[in-house]
Amino acid sequence: MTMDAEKHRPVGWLAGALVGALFLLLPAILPAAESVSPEVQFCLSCHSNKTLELVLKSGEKRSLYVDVDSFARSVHGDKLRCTDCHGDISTFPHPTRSFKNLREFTLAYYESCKGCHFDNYTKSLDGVHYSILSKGDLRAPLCVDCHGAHDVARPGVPKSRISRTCSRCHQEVYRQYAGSVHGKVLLQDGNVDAPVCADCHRSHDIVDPRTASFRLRTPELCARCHTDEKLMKKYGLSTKVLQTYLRDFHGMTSSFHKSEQIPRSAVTAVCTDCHGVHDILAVKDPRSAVMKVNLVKVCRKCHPNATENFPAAWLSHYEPSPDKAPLVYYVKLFYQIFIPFVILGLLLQILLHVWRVVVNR
Amino acid sequence: MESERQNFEPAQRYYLRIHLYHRLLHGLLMASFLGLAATGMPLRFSDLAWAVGVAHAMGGFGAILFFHKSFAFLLTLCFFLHIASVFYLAFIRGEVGVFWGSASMVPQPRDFVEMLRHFRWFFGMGPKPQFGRFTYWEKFDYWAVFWGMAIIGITGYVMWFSSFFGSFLPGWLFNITLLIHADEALLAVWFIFTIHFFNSHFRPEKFPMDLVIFTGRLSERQLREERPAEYQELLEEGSLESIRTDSPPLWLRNFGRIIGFSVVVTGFLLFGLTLLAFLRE
Repeated sequence: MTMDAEKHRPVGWLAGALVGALFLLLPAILPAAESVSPEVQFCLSCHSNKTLELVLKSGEKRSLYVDVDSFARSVHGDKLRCTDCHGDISTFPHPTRSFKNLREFTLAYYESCKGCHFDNYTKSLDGVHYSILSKGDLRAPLCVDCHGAHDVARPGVPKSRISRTCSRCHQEVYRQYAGSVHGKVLLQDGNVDAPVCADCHRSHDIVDPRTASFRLRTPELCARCHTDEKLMKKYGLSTKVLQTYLRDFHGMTSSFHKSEQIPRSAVTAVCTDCHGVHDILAVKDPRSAVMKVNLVKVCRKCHPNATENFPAAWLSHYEPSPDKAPLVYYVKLFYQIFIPFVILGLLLQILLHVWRVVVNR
Repeated sequence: MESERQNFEPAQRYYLRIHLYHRLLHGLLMASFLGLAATGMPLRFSDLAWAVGVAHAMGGFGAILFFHKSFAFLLTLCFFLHIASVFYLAFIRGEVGVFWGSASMVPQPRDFVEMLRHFRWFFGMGPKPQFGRFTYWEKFDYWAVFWGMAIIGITGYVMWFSSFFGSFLPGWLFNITLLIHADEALLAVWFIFTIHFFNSHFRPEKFPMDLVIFTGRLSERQLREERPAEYQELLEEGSLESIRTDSPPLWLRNFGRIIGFSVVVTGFLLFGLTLLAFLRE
């Protein structure tokens, strides 16, 4: 990087010092950098210069400054040397590299992470972000776009950081999420029981949520929390939501579609079709789409001719009992008694007949 | 061989008990019912491994629902063909005996008397009743199927054309239709695959298989022993000779045996699977 050397403008008293002297002095001068290795400190003798930058062919400028404090605080601060990631730059002067633009610069280091994080790298190859990258869309996020480069921190500390990370690109979704029952309790009350983006979408192997298979997986996805007795008890929520859904028309249909290896159709309502997706509200919220007064509007999304009493076909996740849906409860009870009664009664008549014939012989 | 003697007695005279029309209709009924049960039960117990297996074998749940509806159409056709024949006999041929009398399927006062006597006989408290053309349990069998077809059929069509029915029927009715359809169907499947099968296979005089529904023919001995009242009536009327027919040909008996046993095996398998599933519910 000879062209950079020209731009390397000395600053402060560090300017004329010999490389060897710096090597010895740096630990004393930069106390925050104590934890970083001597090799890193060697690179920092130049890269702690805030004005150090690279002008790319496109005219974009890439700062070559590395904030030693943020690197020292990062998860890699006491573990990695610069050359662990920047393996191509092990000599000084640096070998010449030319980049068309900033994105190409970032992409050049894309595979640096996989040396250690092979499992997550492999998972990301199944993800929707890699899929759009492989189709040539360079806007797709790479490791560093979400995790940062020199300042990599634990992604889930605090938990809300995950959703904020996604929000950098998915602003509209984040806005809806922030107003939802899940987003509100997490972002405003700091309640970590609430899900963030990655809880539903996963982090590295994010699949396209518009596919039939993702749609059909929605009930089991929501059920991970909503059938957890301990968790739901805290909020007075029912854990029967999955079971009651699966027993109803929509749930049954979703099971049918799901059992097919390649779902051909996903034409049935899943949790999010009624409750909302990122903008999901508490069922007690008057604005909730599943509030009784709003329900017929939800039905009409798929059943355009639904009449005002159409939503009564839905038992609102209640298990039939003498209080809730008594008719369903009693019809069920009737058959539970009637079926064995008829079959066993008639069977007895046949057995008596056989018995008499045997006795008479 | 016991079965050979029961179904083929060359020395005997043979009389026609079941017309070809009714035998064909029973064939259609049997095929469509078996089809409905085989496609419906996997839908009812769709979360069980065997149900998924059956569904996959037939091309997925979407496909079995299509087959289910096709069989439903056939059974509906069968239902109306039967109704049409009853009305034809009663109103065009003027045989009012279809609706009332010793040859009618409608329960007669004597059926209740025979039932009581039958139970007395079970406990050795009296002689075996003199049954006529149809016994009380055969009539029960007939009406159980009739009732079942009406209930399961109506609820089935309400769900099939739910958007049409939903435009004027209240929503809560759909919960009931699914429930009734599924449970009434379970009752029908169990009834046919146990009671109806036992009636025609396991009663001592029928074991191992009564072929009359395939051959349509009954020997004089069978008529005299199993349906003494009918035999007596025919004898007094002098109409016995008018229903005289040839002995059942071998091909027809073999045809009946093959169909009969295949259906019984399939039926028992479905009964076993659904019983286990029901007990686990």
